[in-house]
Amino acid sequence: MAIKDDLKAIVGAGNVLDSPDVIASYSKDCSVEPPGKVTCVVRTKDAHEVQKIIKLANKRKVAVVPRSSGVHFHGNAIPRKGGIILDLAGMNSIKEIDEANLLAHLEVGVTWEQFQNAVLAKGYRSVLPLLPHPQRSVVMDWLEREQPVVQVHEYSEPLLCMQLIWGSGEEFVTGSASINNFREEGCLTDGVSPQGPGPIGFDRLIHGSQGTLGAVTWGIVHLQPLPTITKTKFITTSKVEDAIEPLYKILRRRIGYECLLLNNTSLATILADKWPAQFAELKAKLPAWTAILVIGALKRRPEERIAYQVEALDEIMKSNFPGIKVLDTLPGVAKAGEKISEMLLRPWPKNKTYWKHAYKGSCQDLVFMTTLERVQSFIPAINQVAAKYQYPAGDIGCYVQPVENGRACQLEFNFYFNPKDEAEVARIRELYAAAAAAVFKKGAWFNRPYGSAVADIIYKKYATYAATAKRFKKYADPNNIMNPGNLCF
Amino acid sequence: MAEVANKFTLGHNLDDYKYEARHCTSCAGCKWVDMNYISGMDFSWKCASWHQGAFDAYGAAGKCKIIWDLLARDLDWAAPKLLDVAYMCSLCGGCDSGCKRNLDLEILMMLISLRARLVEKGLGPMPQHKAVTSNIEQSRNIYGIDQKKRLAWMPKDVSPAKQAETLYWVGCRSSFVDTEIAQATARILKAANKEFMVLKDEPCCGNLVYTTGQLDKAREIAQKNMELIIQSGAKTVVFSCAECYRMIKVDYPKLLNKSTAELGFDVKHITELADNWIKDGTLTLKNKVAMKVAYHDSCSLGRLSEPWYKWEGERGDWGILNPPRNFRRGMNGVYEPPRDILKAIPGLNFVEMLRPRDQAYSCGAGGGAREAFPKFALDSATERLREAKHIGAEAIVAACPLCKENFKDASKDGLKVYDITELIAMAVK
Amino acid sequence: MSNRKVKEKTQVQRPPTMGITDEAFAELETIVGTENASRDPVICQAYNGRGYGREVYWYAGLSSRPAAIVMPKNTEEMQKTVQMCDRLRIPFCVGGAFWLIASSPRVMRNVIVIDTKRATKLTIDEKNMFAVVEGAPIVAQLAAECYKRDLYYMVPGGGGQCAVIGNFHVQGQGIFCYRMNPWTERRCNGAEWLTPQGELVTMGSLQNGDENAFIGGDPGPEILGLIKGQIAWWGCMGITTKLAVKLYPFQPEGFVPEGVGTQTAVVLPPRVRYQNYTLPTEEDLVESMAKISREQICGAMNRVPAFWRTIAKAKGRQEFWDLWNKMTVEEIENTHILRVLFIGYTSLKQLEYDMQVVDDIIVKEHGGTARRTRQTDEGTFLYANVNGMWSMTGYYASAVVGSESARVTLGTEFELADRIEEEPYKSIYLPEHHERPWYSPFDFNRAVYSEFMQYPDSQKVDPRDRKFDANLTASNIMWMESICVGTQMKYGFQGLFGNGILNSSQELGPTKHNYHIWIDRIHNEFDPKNLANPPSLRAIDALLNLAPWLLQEEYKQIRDRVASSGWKEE
Repeated sequence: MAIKDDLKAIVGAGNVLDSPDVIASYSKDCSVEPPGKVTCVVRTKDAHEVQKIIKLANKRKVAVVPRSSGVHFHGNAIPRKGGIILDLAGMNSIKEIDEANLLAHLEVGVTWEQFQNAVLAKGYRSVLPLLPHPQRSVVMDWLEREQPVVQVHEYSEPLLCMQLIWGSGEEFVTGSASINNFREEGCLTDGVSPQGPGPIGFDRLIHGSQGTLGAVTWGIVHLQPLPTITKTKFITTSKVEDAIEPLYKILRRRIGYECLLLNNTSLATILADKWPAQFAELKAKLPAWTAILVIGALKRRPEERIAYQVEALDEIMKSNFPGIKVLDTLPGVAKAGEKISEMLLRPWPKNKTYWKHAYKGSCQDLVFMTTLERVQSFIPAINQVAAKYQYPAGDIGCYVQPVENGRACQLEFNFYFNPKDEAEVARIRELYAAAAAAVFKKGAWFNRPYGSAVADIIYKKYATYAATAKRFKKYADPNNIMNPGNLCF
Repeated sequence: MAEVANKFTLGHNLDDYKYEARHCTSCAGCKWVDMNYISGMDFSWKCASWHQGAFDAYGAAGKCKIIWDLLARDLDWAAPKLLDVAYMCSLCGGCDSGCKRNLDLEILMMLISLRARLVEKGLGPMPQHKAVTSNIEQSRNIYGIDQKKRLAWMPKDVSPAKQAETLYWVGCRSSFVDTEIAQATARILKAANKEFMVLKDEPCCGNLVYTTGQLDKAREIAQKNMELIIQSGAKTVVFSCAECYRMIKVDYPKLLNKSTAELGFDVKHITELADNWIKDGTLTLKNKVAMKVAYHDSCSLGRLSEPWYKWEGERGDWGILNPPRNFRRGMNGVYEPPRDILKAIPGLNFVEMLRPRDQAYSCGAGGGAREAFPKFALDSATERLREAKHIGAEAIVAACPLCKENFKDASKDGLKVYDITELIAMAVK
Repeated sequence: MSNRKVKEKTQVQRPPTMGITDEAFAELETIVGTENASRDPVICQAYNGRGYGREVYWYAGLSSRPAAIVMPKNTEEMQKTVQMCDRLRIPFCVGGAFWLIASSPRVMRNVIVIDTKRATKLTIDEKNMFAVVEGAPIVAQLAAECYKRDLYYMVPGGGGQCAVIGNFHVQGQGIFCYRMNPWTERRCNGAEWLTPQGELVTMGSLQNGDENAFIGGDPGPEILGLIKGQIAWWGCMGITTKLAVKLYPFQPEGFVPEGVGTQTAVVLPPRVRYQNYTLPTEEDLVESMAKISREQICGAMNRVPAFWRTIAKAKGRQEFWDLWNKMTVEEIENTHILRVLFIGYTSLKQLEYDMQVVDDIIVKEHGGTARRTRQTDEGTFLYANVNGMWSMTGYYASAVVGSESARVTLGTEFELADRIEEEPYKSIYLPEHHERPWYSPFDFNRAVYSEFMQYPDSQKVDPRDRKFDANLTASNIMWMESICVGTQMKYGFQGLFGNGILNSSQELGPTKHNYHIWIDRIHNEFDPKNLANPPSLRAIDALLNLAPWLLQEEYKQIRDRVASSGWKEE
């Protein structure tokens, strides 16, 4: 029996798609990664179907690439060795919003738009990455180690327990939710602990695995209380290093919720409403670097809470950086503070072109971890590579996301490109590989390695890591059917 | 398996410490400085034996496991390292007070009892200890020097009384080697107009005999010396040697089945008296002594100096002792008088050690350690001097000739070593 | 795959049971130096049977003197030692501070103990807030270094005397987990792992060197998960030779110690303050905790049981009993104390703000009162008084310890507090007078941590003591292994560790997605010769085989019900 027939028997004929259009759209994504070969796309409605498909794939030795978002940016969901796309986006119910414990139990297909609307309506928020695409899966973004814009340590790593089907076909649940009768009558466990079960940190292993170990079907994420008032401050500088030292001191004193640093290009892509005129205008008017700090207060004595933070901020700046002004708004942007603090609470609006795509149609991100003090060291290397590939330095977006009170940061360089221009796509592909190599040489830490170009560089150095990861994968995915060829597998 | 008798005395029978050996929780209170006093990676250990000996066997927690197995007859008493583990220790009591911070175990008594058992079995003490005992037996002092020279230290300008209420017990070390301490003490007594007498043929207090586990001989010395003191008519016996002070105040009653209060005389260290005299004006500190000093709390004056309370009883349910025992936790040692004295000396800049009072790291010399394990003693002293240097002191001050000797041996890079009596004497001259 | 099939497929070879040979010992001496290796029985005896948990194994003779002790100085020496063990099939176990169970009851006659005391590296990157430590540094040392740098670290409730690495693996939790992530592995930037086969695997950004260990995660699956989950491997997966840990912003002034003996404490600087509050009812206390946490203020807080207050007042065991025997059920039922730690992370004004909000909640909304509170602290920042827990009866066990949501944790703990008042348990344990256990909010009260402890007379549970009471001992063990475990299972509470069944993956695994099969897989993959701290993984199971009566019917019913529920493959 052809595999498609077996698949149809599991999910129904209407959920096994293999028309050329569908195949074409699933064989690539918004990145510059070359397209892959897709046998068909299978849409599942629940974890039982996922399990049956993976078991079938094991029997038939067919590769499976799980996807749960409606859009992908980094190439990790493109099959490198052919196979089935397992589309879990339809598994999108919000099973529970637990207000007592500030948790939400989400199927993997729940998107940011869906989730944040539900949560805000109840008077809470979830932390988000920076303006995520509304069609991105909440659970997937955390599994892929996106960094929250709220950089306070207590808000980091929002994903707690999860259910998955291992590549072997076994069903499993991580953390305290692993107790067999979770959510059944008589069991009170709320799934607050992501640890274990037992001495194995399963959640650690699944984070960052990019679908190579199994298919996650639901996750429990934490929520946070919604600030009742906020005050946004801007620190603008002409050099990135001039913004870094203030950030160290400010974040060390636990001031502010959201904190991010953007260059003018990145910020302009976010703030521009009218394209291309307003973008160009903003890009010219905005300072070279803008650090955005959203100071917030919760329910009780909110004005006092804002006041002591602002006072502390002023004291830090006055004592240490008297030449740097802290602004309440941005030149050329009306009510910038309110606008930005509102934007940061939500995913990108679905009725607007995604901010990274508005400039040229698509964007290739080079993203890695480093420390704040090293940020400046990467910029000349990037500029050098860009010059080699005739990419205007002024067109490169740069986004610095401080992590956990400034202990580190996620540094992201954005290379905007026209996806319809094949030559440009090829050029950006080479630029990306060269840029990755350049920053890797300077100590970039790739905890989100995307693309074969990055894989080629890093696993040579981290060979022991790769070998050890493979020893685990032997058990999670003994036939290597899950997203084969991705990462070090 | 030897069973614990119902009634027992807080004494030197190792079998009576089975409870201690069994109930060590390995909390490490015996090894480390009290956590609240830990100031960083460095200077955070308290037990010199464990710190220098490296293996856990050298710390009290390790010794509990060893003693348990010895009593259970699963470990051979003749095992080669047993003597090392038992005797490479100054019996400073750091483990005892550390343990008693949270538990009620008599660790120090257990360790002394281990030595006593080794002596009983003919395995201890170390040969160097036997040599000292022989000196005492033959010459009444630890050096084997002609005892007629015992009072040769006396300065010409000091005349002790033939009879007085205060007896100054000098000790072997200050009589023969660290004579500057005896001289300074005598001058302090004179400056305070305090009449005192000395014993013409003052014998050794027997400290080294006792601490090395030679109980019978120690008891004999204690008995004889008690008679001497009583016969002298002294109401107060004053010491400049912390070891002698502790021996007579704490260990004589222990050996003779008494409490300190039953000795029949008061026991004082010179610092206790001098502190009072300075405060009530009897002693005036006129002269400046310009120095930055760190004070080393000698164990015998500090955590080991609380009075001894004899006890006999049994351990009932919940491990409760009946009658209740007065636990000596080292909290009421002579800590403040030396500090107050130093702070009162004009021109003196006093800095506190990182391991002060009952947290003091032993100089490493006591308990026969210096005699049998000179490297251990030297290394321990070096560690303590390093601490003094670290806090910026120019000199280290102790209140015990043994500490002073050991520090002097270890002092290399210009750090001065004094006994507190010397500084007081400098200030009163 | 069934348990039996997994065992068949992954047949583990038994290590030899002889002591170490002369040749092997000579090789050890060559690796670490003659002064750092010993097989003298006296030296080895000191490493036998330790501390917490010892009573089940040590008393029962399951722990004995190891074959040799070695003290390697660094990773290189440790690797050579383990490689030698692998080659010659010599079992080994490792210890840092040797406090808790990790190297205690599983020490056997053929085992080499690797004492990491000489691996003393501790470096701190103050600006980027992380530290890299080797096996020796204890938490108090790291914490003290942090306080000099406007930083702080997670000081566990068990006290600062445990090794940083050891504590990371076993638990790594304390009241600071109110803010610092309670999930230990999320506070780690990397580790250097020496597998039982002697391979060195580095993870996290530590792979780029100690000075680059600023963040965790790997370029793919985070393999830290192989060596750190919810409970410890107890050394069965080799040795963590180095760990990079996160440090946290604190406030700039340090602590000054004071006091002697039982009265030591640190003086709190102006931007650190403790305040004790009395609340009218336990519900008020729980609700106040939740409301304060919802505001995401303060540094930590915990309920203070009367038991603790009595320990703090008493100088020793006798005094404790004198005071505790005067305690009445009414007094305990009417006393609800919440101790709140305020930290002025941002400024003094922020601390004052926090205090005002707590006042609004506790005093104005819940009718509580602020008690006079000394501004010194004995046991939070460096120390903990946990060893005082042993002084009352010579024994205690944290039978149920861990965290889940408030309803799970408090439900479990409060039910146990009620059941211990029933016979035969009431008469074998120190009377609790209906006291509730202590608890503390973690993760801003998303999780609540609690410990239920019980105190039999240590003499009566010691087979070698003349007061040994076999019936009492059996009741004690049944309480811990059946009542406590069954209650946890009933509520879904994820206990951290215990003396017995909680370490039995064979018992608990079937109730939690058969994780015991994963343990076998991973352990057999990385330690196929079963050389790392044997027989630690299976010690409990061996015990259960010897004494199946430990598992009471009540427990078995709960276990079977939970094991048979959940996912059913279609």
